[in-house]
Amino acid sequence: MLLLAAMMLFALTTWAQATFPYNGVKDQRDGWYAITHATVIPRAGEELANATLVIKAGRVVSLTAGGAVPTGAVEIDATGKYVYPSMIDLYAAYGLPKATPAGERSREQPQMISNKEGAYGWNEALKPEFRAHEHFEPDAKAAENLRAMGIGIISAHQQDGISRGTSTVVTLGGDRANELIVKEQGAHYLSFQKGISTQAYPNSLMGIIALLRQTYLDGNWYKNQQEETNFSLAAWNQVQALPQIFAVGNWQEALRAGKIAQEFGQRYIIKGSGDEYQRLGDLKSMGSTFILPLVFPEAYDVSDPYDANQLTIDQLRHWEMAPANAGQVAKANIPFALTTDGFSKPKDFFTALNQAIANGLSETDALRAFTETPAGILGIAKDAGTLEAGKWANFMVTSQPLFAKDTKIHHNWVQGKPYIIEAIPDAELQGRYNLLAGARAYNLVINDKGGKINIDEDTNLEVKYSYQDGLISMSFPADKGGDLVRLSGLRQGQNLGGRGQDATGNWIDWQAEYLGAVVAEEKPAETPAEPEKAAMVSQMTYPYGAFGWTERPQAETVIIRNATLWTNEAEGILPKGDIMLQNGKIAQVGGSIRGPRGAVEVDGTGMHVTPGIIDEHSHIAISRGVNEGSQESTAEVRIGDVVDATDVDIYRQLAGGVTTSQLLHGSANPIGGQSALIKLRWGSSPEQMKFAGAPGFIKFALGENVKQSNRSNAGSRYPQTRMGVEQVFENYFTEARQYGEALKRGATVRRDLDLETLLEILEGKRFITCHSYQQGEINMLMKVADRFGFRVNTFTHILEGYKVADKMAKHGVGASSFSDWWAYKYEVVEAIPYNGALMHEQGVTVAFNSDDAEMARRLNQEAGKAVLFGGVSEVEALKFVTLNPAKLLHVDDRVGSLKVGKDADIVLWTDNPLSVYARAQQTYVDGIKFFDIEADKVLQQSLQAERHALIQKMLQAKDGGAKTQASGGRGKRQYHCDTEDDEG
Amino acid sequence: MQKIIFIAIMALTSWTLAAQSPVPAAAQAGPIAIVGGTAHLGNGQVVENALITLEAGKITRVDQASAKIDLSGFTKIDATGKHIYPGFIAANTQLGLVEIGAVNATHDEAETGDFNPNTRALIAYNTDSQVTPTVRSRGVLYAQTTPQGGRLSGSSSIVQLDAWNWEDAAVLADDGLHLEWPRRRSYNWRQGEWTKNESYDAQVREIADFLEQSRAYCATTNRKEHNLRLAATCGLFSGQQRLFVHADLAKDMEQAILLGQQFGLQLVLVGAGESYLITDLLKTANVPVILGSTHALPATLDSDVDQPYKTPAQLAAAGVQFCLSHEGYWEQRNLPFQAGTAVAYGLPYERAVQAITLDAARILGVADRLGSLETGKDASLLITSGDALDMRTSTVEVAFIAGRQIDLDNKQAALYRKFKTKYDRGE
Repeated sequence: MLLLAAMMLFALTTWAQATFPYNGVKDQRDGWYAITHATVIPRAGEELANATLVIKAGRVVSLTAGGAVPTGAVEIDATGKYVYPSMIDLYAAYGLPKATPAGERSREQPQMISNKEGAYGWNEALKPEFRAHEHFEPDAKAAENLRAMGIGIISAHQQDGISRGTSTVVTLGGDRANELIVKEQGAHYLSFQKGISTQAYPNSLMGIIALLRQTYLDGNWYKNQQEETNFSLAAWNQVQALPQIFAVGNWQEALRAGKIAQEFGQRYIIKGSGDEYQRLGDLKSMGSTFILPLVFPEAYDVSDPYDANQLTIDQLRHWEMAPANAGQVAKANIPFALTTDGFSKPKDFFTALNQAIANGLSETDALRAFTETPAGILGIAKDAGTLEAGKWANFMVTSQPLFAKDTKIHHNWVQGKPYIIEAIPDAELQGRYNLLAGARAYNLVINDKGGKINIDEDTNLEVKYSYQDGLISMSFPADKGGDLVRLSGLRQGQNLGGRGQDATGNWIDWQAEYLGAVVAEEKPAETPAEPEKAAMVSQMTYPYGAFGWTERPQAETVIIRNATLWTNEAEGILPKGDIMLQNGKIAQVGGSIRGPRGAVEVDGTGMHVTPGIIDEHSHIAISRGVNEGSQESTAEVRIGDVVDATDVDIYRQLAGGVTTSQLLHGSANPIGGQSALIKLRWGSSPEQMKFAGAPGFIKFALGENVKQSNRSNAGSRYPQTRMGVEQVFENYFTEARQYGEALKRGATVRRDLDLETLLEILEGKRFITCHSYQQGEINMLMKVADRFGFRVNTFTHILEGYKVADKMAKHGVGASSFSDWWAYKYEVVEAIPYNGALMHEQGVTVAFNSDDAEMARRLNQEAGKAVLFGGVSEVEALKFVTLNPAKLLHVDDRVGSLKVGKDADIVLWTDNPLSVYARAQQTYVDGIKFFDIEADKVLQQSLQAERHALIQKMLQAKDGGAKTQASGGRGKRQYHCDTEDDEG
Repeated sequence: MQKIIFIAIMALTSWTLAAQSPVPAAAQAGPIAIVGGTAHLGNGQVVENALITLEAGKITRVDQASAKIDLSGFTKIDATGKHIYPGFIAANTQLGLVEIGAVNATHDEAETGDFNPNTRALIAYNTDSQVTPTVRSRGVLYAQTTPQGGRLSGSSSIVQLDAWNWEDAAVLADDGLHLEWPRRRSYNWRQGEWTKNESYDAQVREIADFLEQSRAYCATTNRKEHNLRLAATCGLFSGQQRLFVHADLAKDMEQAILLGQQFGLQLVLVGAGESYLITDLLKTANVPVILGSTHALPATLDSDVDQPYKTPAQLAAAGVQFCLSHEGYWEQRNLPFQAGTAVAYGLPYERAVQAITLDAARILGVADRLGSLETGKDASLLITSGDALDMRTSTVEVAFIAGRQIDLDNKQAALYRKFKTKYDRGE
């Protein structure tokens, strides 16, 4: 041991000192060692007993069973010890400075371009030019801590921004950076986090995704252009050859990353969040390797039932399931690495790792995920990841098998240099001795628990001793309760001896003659029962939260009999008839249906069937921000990139009869983002929710929101008046037209996703839904459209549409309005609840929408108000929330009426659907029953039962001493048009 | 059969677009008899084919139309096939205190500072609001115009919605004080979770201290130093005023009830989202509830999807005294539909009517005059062509406030006519 400690101080091995001067006489050694008698695990899944591992000059020379120690090598006897390749961590910020903003955040003006000086890109959140190897400086303290976790190599990168630049692969030695960097550029890191950028754009997840998409295109453009020098784009192109590691916040973000990767021919390695078990199937189909964290939530303090009530079922489940994540990912055959990210204490890390193993992760998979897999990803497999001749001597020496309880890491060798975490204890001192101290003799036993002397049969007294590098001191009572005898001496051969003072203070000589090994105590033949592993309580549901289904509901052949059928077709309302759904379509409507055998029969007596409700203006099911309002035009952003399929409001709205929702960008800027049309296929993945084949839409906005009238700190972002709003459209459509002309000419054009989207509008390939209130602005946009030769598709809100309904009818634009909202801002002081009726009378296609997750649950009643205000017929009023929005969305060939061949998106109501008393009894999408009022009761009960079981389990964990955290329940932010920010 | 006059408001109106509210109705000139129709008395009872007489602003008879009553000299209103309800009462509203949500200059509901028991909503109540006539025309004839903000927001008043000025609007001035109970936790959207309010205990102590000071102050009559704030609370301790505590979380409400008991206050809980969790306490402590809007999303992600909708039925089944409300101002016109939704989710129909009439009147302390169709009460009622709780049918045809037949016209109806005219002309 003494030897090792000394070597650590002076060892300078042969591969160093290329350029640096030294002081004094050169001391260069060859680092030649043989670790003997150890059990060596050269790679995950293999084991070599009584092995001799010979290393020299930082590399493995040989690994053999019982091999001889070469002459000239220093032998380290590791009898009873284990040797593993040291770990490689792909996700760490080690040795890099904290990112700092490029400039001050502006209070007045939104910051449109990067503050970074130099010929870099326009957006601060993209830093492909950041090269960690140019900034890396070893941090002795952090390195020591990481080594104690068993890590030998790190892919160090700065964790800030969307493109975070490249990592550098370093070993955790204590030398100069020059010697530690083993690969300059390891991987390119990306994330969905804007980081410390002070720039306005992007301020939503969809903006982040749009920026990434545009950057891939710009990178391609940059290769073949002479117009500008852009170090960021140059760097972006350069890093594409590296592994791409993308950090995500949850499994939906993993899928989003996967989608981008697919679009640009990439394959990301996903740094996951630990919730992968919630959606293994979809994640596996991405074909990505994952980097999984091992940070698991503490139990919540659920002792107060009201507090516990705030917690959601997925939070409760995640506490139970998180440790099982890695095991489940492995079982699903998804390749993965593991990371120590999130741990500051080695002990906590190993506790978590052992928890993962106790929950189904095999030791072999765990070791591979920390060795061969990351080595492969970083392209250093020829040097690291296993212990084989020629590879770096990166290994750890452990007291027991690595994943056993209370295993200690004794050494962590980094490129042939030993770092001692906890010295190998002096097993050789253990044994039975005959101790003669002065005139008195004792039986002395030293075992792994400490030392004891026997006075007589019944009296064992404790001996306190310390032993270091051959010198020993010990003390013990001369008799029970007596004063202490204190001895000091040295070890010679196996015997001990020296001088000391007896209990009275007289100097004495002493000797302890080694008699032999400690006789193992006969243990009673009890095999301590493995503590029974508590059964998992968590259900697996889709989506992973309240009201999810455990088994995917299927489309069946369903016949609803004797109901009032609101067909929305020429035949109007059929007072009593049957309707059959088959293969996801409406198969038959009206009359008495002779259905096929096995059809599900539903008695609709006294009930009503209508087409499913279509909410033309919704902001549910959106992740991290509904507005990318940072520029006047953000036509490039897409709600479709950020659909949140787990939003409980999907289920709540199914309970209100909604089957299709148009998810709109907000109204913070004149030209907002692209919309997504979804069907409320509860439990599906975000992509599966999309309404296939529906044409593209985009959100525009006018009036107070876009001119920022109601902000306390109105800035100078253009526009600030309705005059300016018009000019924004003039400007952007002029630009788009020129862009289109350039394309047509065949000029070299940088693909601009903003202009490209606007060009689609000019070409009639994309439709506008425009947030609008006052008649003047409504008229204005129609005139702009006339000038540029397109048609505005839909005005949404359109509360003064009744003043220009004739002009709207002439232009051919539809209206999607509120039934009766008004007075909430100045531009709606002339809003009237008769608006829908008046526009309808003038021949405008009128819909009522929600713009509100609550009201969407009662849209049928909002339609009823069209009867109340302005006397629209009931048949026509129901169309306001079914067929008319379908027309506005150009999907009326698929949905919106009870017509044979249309999608079986229907609702069975308990009452006249326009009545306040009507409740959705059943809601079908594509013939699949996604809501049933009776099944809902069962779901409520099973949810409560599962919650109860998990809470009980948590309480037991708390009683068992587990740490707890305060029960801050998860919530959901409700988006409206004017919600700005990204809470991600 | 006598020729019975049906009074069609729209035809009578002379209201023009000169951005003015309709002229307040004159006092009742002669006796009126409403004959026929289904009378929902507001106290849970129904009289089919009813006869209701109104004289000098009071209800003088509630009977069957078949009763042999001499109605000569009465102006008769044929309500056959129609429904009659007591005027609806909107508790806890900012009607008349806010005109346009986003325009600060039109806001008078929240004074600066924390303890403002001396501020009076009645003073700011704007009888000329353009919003009020749209609410009134939907059968909501009374409102508890209520201040907000701070800790003790001030006093509310019960007003009738057809008045020249706030003095003649007042039915019961300063009916109670409003206390915004601190929330022990609130939703932090940036963190995506509910976070604990670390100052909660201190905030509750501050309320208790204030009440302690107030009680001591009000116990003496000859204070040399007059304190407007403390003096404004004396009605709480004398039993003249109620303390309306705005709270939603079960534990917050429990704590408020304890404090109310400690000071012997007449407590009413407002909002009370989680009241369904503490019905036993509400009942035994005899604390009524002004339930906040039930057209609301469930408070937690795991709550029953229909929780807010069914809360009224749960409170009724548990025997808790409650009324319905719909926070806001212009939204008051949809108050009847809150009651309709409660029916859809299990509350008996007449009980739902009661929840926006007599129970509201009781909780606001005006049940001696308002809330039900009973002899001796103010002649405040409405006649609808159909079920008033259902938007499908709830056309209000006639309404009386204390015998005065009010003009149901409003700015929105006028704008409707204006643009009807445009299109009729083909311009």
